[in-house]
Amino acid sequence: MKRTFSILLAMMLLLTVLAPSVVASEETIKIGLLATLTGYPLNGEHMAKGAQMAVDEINEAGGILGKKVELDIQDVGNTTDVGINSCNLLISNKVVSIVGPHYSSTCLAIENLINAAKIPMLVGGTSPKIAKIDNDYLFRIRASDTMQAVAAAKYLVEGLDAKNVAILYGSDDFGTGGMEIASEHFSSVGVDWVAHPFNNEDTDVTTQILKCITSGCDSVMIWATEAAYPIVARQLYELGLIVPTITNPSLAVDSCLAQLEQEWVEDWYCVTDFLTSNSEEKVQNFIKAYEAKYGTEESVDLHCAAYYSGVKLVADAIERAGSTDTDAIRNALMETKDFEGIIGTMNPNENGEFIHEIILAQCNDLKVSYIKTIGE
Amino acid sequence: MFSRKHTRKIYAVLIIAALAFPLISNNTYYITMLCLAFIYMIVAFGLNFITGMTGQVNLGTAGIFCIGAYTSALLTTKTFISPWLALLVVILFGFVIGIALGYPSLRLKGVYLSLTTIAFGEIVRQLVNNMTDFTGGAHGVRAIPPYCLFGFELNTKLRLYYFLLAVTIMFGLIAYRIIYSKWGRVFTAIRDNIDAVDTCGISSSKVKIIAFTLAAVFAAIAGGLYAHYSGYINPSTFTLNLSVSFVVMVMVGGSGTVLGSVLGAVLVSILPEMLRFLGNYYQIVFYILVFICTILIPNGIVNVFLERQKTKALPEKN
Repeated sequence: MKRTFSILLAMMLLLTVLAPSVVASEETIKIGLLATLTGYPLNGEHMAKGAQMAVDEINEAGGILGKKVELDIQDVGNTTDVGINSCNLLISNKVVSIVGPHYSSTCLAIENLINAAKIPMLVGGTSPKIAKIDNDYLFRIRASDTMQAVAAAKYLVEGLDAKNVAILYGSDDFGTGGMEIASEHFSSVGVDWVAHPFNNEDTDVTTQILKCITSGCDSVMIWATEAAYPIVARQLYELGLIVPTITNPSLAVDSCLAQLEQEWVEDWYCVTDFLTSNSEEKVQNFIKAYEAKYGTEESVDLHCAAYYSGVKLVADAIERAGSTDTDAIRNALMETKDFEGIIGTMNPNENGEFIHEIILAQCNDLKVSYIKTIGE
Repeated sequence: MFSRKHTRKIYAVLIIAALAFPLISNNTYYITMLCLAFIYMIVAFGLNFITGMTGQVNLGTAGIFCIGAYTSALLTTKTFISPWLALLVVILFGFVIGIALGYPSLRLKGVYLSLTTIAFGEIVRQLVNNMTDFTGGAHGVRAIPPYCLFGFELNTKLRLYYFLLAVTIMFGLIAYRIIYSKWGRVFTAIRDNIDAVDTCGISSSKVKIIAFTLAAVFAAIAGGLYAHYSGYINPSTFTLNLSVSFVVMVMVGGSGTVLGSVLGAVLVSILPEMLRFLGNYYQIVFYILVFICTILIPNGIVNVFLERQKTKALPEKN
């Protein structure tokens, strides 16, 4: 009995591998979304909901070029191999454009695939390396780390009068990129700085924080993904390093804030692409529409807003191109002028970067409030 | 169910199918997946010697794979030497690592050996991540050039597919010959009864080091091939998860056989992709299947069919 069952199980696994994939419909215009739906950290669900909401709105308004739009969502997991497979799957599914992925390492791993396939891709990866790549089909729909980190470093020095900064950063490409840019700025304006890395999955950063305290720092800059914040913020508070602190956009993400205590992050500052407390009409309308669609308990964050804007931008480009030819869409994207995205006004520069402004915000009582918008 | 003669026929069918596949489907998605599966097969062939046959659990394969990948990537992007020359350096590094990892295995057993190899893999990843000026750190290495063969750049997925297929067949043949050689028999004997091996006058220490070295050389070469297949590498790929995936390939496919490694590599690299229709649940379903497999088929899928043959072949009791 056990042997028969084992053979059946083995046969089932083999047949699954040989199963054919689903054939795409040609009656619709397909836009691909590469999102982190499995693995760690998770933000793909919000990306998918934001993008799907944009597609639903477009279809309710009659679609594009008389055709309905279909969103092909694929998971990129958290490894480059899955990212490569997902991108190839979207290409073989004949998408006319790809929105995402969110992480720079995945963007860097797949940019050559979309270049070869000549399919425009609007990524959310913020690494400065992306802008330096010679790839006509690669666009960015979020503010680059260069802009974010420089804005944060400048505010520490000019707004908070920092003289000796400690940078705590995640040792991945995102954290390292932010640290390099900020430290370069501190050196250029003659501000002393020390930098200490940690792994995003570390459960103890006491050593790094004690080194910061020993250095006599008068302010802290944190550059890491959301997953690191509960540990870093708690241990900074417990070890008594309570000085002006500024962070990357993670602090403004509701799912991150939900894991923090009020006293850990009171009066902290952050730079961010999107803020729910931004009183601009387009932002508030977006939040209302999102909550109406998915329920008020759903937190609206930059992932929903950025990829909602990305899909709308692609739809606008297809409409202007008057065709689903990927080269025509690419050219239309480059000709975009003052497209009103939720995370800012979108205008491409020569490197295909669409966002040139960033929000400065402050956290009080676990609520992040808008201070001002900083231009490039 | 299958004899050795039958398995040879299966190999022939598999090779013909692999050769014909691009003629039937020119879909880059499938071709790329199979390219990755070929690379993983080479790792699994090597890991089969140490984990599948000798019974020493090596959870540091991702570290060796990482060293192979970075050696080839850095040599070709920084010193602009041919990937073929870089491959020779990769083989040398694999050899040295194999010996260096093999020695602790003489004193350590079971969970302690696993922990040592995990530590090795993590040390390699952390070094690559933090030696920013040399390795590019977390940003990784970009624009890794493709292999060039008789003046042809292997810069299309189809060319790469046939190249990797040829290399995989070559390593499969080497692995097959080793499994059925004196070494292969001693590997299995060490797993089954190490004292008996020593009693026969065979140095189990020497053989263990040979098994580790073979596994390391295979993994390092596969790493080198991976760098040129991917064109971009960064440290986040070479985690403990990857090492575990390699062990899963050997265990689920079937330890002690080349066919098991082939099947394991295909299942681990392609099955999750085929389960994508399950939406957000595809990874969890994949791991549940792996879990069920390890409980119901602990010796791997291939051995289900091979064992039946062995059972049948047993002489009847009088």
